[in-house]
Amino acid sequence: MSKPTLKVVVAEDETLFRDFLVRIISQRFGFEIIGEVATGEEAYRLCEQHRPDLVILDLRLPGITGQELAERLINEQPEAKILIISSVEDPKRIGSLLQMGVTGFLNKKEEFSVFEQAIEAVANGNIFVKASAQTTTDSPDVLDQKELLETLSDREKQIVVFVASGMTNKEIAQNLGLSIKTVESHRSNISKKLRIFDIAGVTLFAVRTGLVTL
Amino acid sequence: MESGAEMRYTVLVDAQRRVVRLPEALAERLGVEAADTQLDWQSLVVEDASKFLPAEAGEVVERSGYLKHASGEIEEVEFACERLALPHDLVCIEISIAKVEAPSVEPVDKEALDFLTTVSHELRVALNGVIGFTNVLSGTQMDADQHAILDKLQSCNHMLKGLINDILEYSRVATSKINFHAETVNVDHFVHEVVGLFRERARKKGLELRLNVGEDANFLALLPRMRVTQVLSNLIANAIKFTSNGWVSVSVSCQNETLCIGVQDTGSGVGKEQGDAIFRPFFQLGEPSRTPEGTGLGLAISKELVTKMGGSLKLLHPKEGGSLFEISLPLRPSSESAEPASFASPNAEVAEVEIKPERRDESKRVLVVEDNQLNADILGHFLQDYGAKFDRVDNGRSAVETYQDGKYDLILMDVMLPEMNGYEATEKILSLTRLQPPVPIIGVTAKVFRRDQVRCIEAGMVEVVHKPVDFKQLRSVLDRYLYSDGNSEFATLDSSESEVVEEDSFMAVNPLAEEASEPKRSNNVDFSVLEAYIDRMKTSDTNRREIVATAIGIVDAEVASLLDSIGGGNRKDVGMRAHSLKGALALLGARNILDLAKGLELVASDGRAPLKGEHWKLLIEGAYSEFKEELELYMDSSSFV
Repeated sequence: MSKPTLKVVVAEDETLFRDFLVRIISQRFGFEIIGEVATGEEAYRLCEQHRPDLVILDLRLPGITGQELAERLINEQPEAKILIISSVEDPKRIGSLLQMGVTGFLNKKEEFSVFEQAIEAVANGNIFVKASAQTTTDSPDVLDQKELLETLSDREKQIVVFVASGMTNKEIAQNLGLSIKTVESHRSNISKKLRIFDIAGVTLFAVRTGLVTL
Repeated sequence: MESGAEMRYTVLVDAQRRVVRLPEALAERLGVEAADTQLDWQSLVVEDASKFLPAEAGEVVERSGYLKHASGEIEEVEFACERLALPHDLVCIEISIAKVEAPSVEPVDKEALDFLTTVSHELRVALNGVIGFTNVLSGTQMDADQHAILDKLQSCNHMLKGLINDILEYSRVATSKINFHAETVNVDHFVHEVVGLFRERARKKGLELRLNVGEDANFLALLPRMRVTQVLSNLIANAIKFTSNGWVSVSVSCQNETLCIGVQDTGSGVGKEQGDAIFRPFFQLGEPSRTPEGTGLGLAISKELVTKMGGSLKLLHPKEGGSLFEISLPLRPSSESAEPASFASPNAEVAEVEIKPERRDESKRVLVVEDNQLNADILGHFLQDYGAKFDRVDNGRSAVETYQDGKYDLILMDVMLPEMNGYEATEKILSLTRLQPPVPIIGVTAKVFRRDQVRCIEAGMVEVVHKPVDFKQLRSVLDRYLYSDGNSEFATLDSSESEVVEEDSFMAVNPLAEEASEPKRSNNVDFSVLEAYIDRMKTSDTNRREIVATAIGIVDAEVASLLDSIGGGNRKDVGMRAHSLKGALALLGARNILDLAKGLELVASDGRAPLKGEHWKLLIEGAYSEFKEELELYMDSSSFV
């Protein structure tokens, strides 16, 4: 399949992820990468200079954000196609971005093949939207852990959060107005229930079950 | 976009059913203006426009319908309509238009393949009965005539089993990702071995079997040996099959770090006009006169395999002789420089399974959980013969109810059971038991895919045996769990046995042995994600190790800067760096450290939570070094091809 060579700018602050995108774009699609940059300012300068056909933007860039940059580009270079890659799971943004004239939107957590689909779609002038509702399903491990979570009392959950944040028994005791002995006994019960005996394990448990955000 | 068999376009429609965005290609197709902001969705479709608007955000409506062209012409398409979240009330409609032209040139007919796969599974279940009872029968008193008939019956079974396995194998090879197990192989030695397997067959047909290994091909290489053997054997077998006189020649050379193995014969050859069609599944079916036997899948499987190894399989048309098939494989030289890896022929390994005819003391009791009467009878006959007592129940719930600690020494558990499936029943029984180690539960399943095996093991089964049950295999599994001391099973899984497993993975799979370095064994790294990343990043001039090394270099720097930042105590900075690190780690399949980074990002951005620098530093350093260790181990293991 012969494809026209598109000029592409990639703006993404995560180095590894940017490398990855660049590789896909140049290798799989054979497009010309005009520039790979980590900030909105650099991306804007490149776009002004080279007027690329396709701009791939992280929504969260340092400096000028992806959203601002997309807005400017749509006004100033309406012929450029814009694919937004976002790690922010905020479906409210999708609507406004698309209405604004962004060509594609996808979540960073998508499988690799979805990136390829998205780039292909946008390069062909199609619109691509994948808001990623389905990527948030929990793995079986996490489901198990959520079940375990339910075996904890509210007080125990609270203590898990404190342990996960690195507080010592003394600090926890002070914070909750309990004796150190009581905290120790809670911790030993928690370890038994969860079958987790180290702080790293408790911290992971707290993150995976969503306790940390409580 | 014209990828595959259909074209897809996405249209955005607002709550007033006005078209907000219309891709130009679609506008052109329909004969309307893409920039027309007053375009009504109703003017583009035949059905009532409201039918395309899901009631709630996140809901997806899928339907078939018709697109209306400006010319009045209509076209049948599929719609998938998703309503996006408020406040911008938009509906995103994906339109898929099937491509009508020339469906026959599709290399793999996915639908036919799905159908065949399903049918093959069903056939296997029935064949299970035939093979099982034939085996039972062969153990009874019979006269010579009856034995002769039984032999024929068994050879028919064998053929049928081969056909079904080929279909399932092709479907597996063509539709899923295969993990190749690389081994260090002396190329010269290896090819001699494989060719040696066919000497007798060639001699019987009066054909000369030539082997020509170039000077440049005498070296050690890392190859997925079993799979290369499979492909090469298939080519040689074909060459012998289609050549009635003359010779079959195998030549090996190495150019530009590519291993080339050619198989040429003096048969009638394949016409140029056939081209790549011969690599299509069931190619021969169109020409029944050509082949006396075989499934027509051998070349298709070979081609898929070689492609998935990163190489190519081509049919060339030499001036002299019949057809010439050439396998080209990109090489990675083996890191071992000492002794060449020794290996026996695959056949020799398969034959090693020990048969123990003597009867056991009948003190062992087995619980058979199987809903199918026929299969249960076969297992019953077998167990009787083996010398174990047994009880049978026909569903998972009864199995859980019947189970008592100490009553059974082993459980044979079918997976697809009424009322409660085998996975669930296994989990329930294991949760009830107080025994240490718990009663061994062996899965018995007609499912052939790896994910099904993994599910069995995840549920807590110790082994999986496939239907139709191979009695030799079942016997050795029972020996192992009933008569050896509990935990010696790992010790008996030496490398040659795990190769048997790989060689005939449909009939005798021991996931514990095979999955030794698979994702499930590590909760710290998801190697399938890592592999996918490497696949995407790979070019002809980089090897996989370099790709990982480069990525790790980047992550090293990110981890270091995160640790620095934690020391500095600026929450916003910590949050940003943790966030950035998350992305990189997710690409590489890291789990624990990724979740820690997530936790840290949350804590850092939540002003109320204390940010304990030392705590996070320790955890992240610990998890990162664990991650790197596992990565190292994985890259050193044989499955890192």
